[in-house]
Amino acid sequence: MFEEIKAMLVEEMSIDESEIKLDAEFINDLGFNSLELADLVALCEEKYDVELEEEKVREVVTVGDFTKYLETVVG
Amino acid sequence: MKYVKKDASHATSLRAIAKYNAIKRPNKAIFKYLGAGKKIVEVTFKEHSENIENMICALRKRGFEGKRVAIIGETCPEWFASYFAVISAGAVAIPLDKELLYDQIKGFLDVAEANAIIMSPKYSKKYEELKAAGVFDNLELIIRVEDGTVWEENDERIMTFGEFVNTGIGMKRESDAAIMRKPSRGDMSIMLFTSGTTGTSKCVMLSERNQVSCAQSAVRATDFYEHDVLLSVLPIHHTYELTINVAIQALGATVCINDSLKNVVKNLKLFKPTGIVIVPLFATTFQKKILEEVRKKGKENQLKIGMLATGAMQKVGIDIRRKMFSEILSAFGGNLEKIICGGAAMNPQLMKFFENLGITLCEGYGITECSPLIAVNPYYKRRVGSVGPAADCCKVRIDAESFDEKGNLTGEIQVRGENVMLGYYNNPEANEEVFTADGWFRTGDIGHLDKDGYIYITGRCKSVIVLENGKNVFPEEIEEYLEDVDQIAECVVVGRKKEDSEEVVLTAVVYPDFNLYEKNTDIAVIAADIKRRVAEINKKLPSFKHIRNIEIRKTEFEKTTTRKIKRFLVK
Repeated sequence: MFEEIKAMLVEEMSIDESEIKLDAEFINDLGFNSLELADLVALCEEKYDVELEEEKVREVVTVGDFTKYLETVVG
Repeated sequence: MKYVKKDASHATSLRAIAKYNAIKRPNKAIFKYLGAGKKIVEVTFKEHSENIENMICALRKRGFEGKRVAIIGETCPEWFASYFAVISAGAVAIPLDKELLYDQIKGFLDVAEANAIIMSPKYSKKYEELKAAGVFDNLELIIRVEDGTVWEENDERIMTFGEFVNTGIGMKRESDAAIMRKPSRGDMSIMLFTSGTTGTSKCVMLSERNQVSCAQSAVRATDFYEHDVLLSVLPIHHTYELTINVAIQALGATVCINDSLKNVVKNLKLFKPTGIVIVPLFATTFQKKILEEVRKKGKENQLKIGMLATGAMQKVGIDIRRKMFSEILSAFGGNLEKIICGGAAMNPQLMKFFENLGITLCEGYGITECSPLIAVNPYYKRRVGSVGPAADCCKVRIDAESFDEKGNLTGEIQVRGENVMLGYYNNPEANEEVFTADGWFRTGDIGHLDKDGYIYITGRCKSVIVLENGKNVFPEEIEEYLEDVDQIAECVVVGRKKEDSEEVVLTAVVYPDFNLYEKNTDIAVIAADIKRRVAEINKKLPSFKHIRNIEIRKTEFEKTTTRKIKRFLVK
């Protein structure tokens, strides 16, 4: 899942691949703002045909947090 | 762009706005939103007004005149109907932020002495947690907007929105003429909590007249018209979004409701709005997205040349911007022509960027205590870097202290007018502080006026941190949490601006309790430990209040004689 998220971040959101690590923080390390995080959620929802809960996404700090959460939803 | 005189005289009260439109354009959609199965649902002006009228009757029947009703949840037609009805029935509306923690909600309801709560469909799903937190303990009525689910709950205080509105059907009402003649209320009709906990938050008391005067002013100052379609994306409990929505409804235009931040782009394409009201965070993100898309397609030069060419042609009266950039504009639905941006400081170059694409971006300035509009850059005569002249519902003056390096008389921006709040609820000390002896409201913002009265904001003299998304963060509130950490001896929370952007990063400047670490512990180790502990604190706070950055200092903060930290010295 991490590799897929990584690919999405590189291709769709032009994030430098070398910066994408499990412990990279979306806001502090990848320069995301809340709207960009919302965009990533929308991309994942479309790709995996799932619905992510806003409240759970709000708890996400790192790429690892997001990966873990997405794994639980996608199964 | 030319000035168009618009009449807002029919907007004498919230109820009059709804009634006027129900008569003038009964079958036109006031709201459009995504309902079950992601299908667009429409509510007409007539249906909306009927809901309001029946709800006013229902509230009166239950003796709610003078009582207080909290409204919480995502934007939905019932939110507006409730808000309009509560105020029109002589009760007080308390719009609450749906992102508040449960104990904060309970605290605010207690402070405001609320009698009832109205919850949106999504928010109603939190019923069990809210009940466990004691939110409903002191309420006599709980209204939930139905979403088709059946509730087992056996609490006779609970009613669905539909059930409640139905109790008002058939009751005697005032005549349409009487409704439209009646002026707005001048007494307290709205209670709004500034961000924070009950300990640090102030409760702003607004009258219906405050808000209606502001909405009328917004009608006159912006280039929105009856034919316009607005996409509502900001949280509705905030006066900025709320008052603009009242203005849009007064114009008889249509409001489309964005269901989630993650769907903004999708909904722009779906609803094809002509206008949007946003905070700078959206404007910068839109710009980033456009530039990113252009870069991906390798069309950077084309965009640059296109902008130069269209700019030159405009000077000779030919405007082909929307044709030239139709591909870019199609990402926003294709019809987007105007953006109102406020709530926080905006990078002035954004105005030019959108202008070049054929979208008029007007920056506004306001504060909850002024309902909130103080100024807006007029679409027909904008000035880059200014938030425009004072709106016609108020007067602005500068309490000048000094001249800046360009010779501008600079000082605190103060406001007087129909939009200025009645005061803070049960807070005489704060009221004394915030009003001058001659009755002007102190905004806490520093700025100057040009010769035509255009306002330029240059700083703040209050500690509140305004984020790019328009949210206010009171540092004292977060410091309260941080001070519970033994390893933090002293701290000050500040907003650090990111380089080359208006984005603000909440930063805790920490003086650790070095006694709790072994002698000669590396400062990086201490910083890592504090960071870990702050991460735990963040979990207790809504995400916009999270501390994103920590700076460790080796010396104590400088203090006043009363041992208070001189926070303005913290750079």
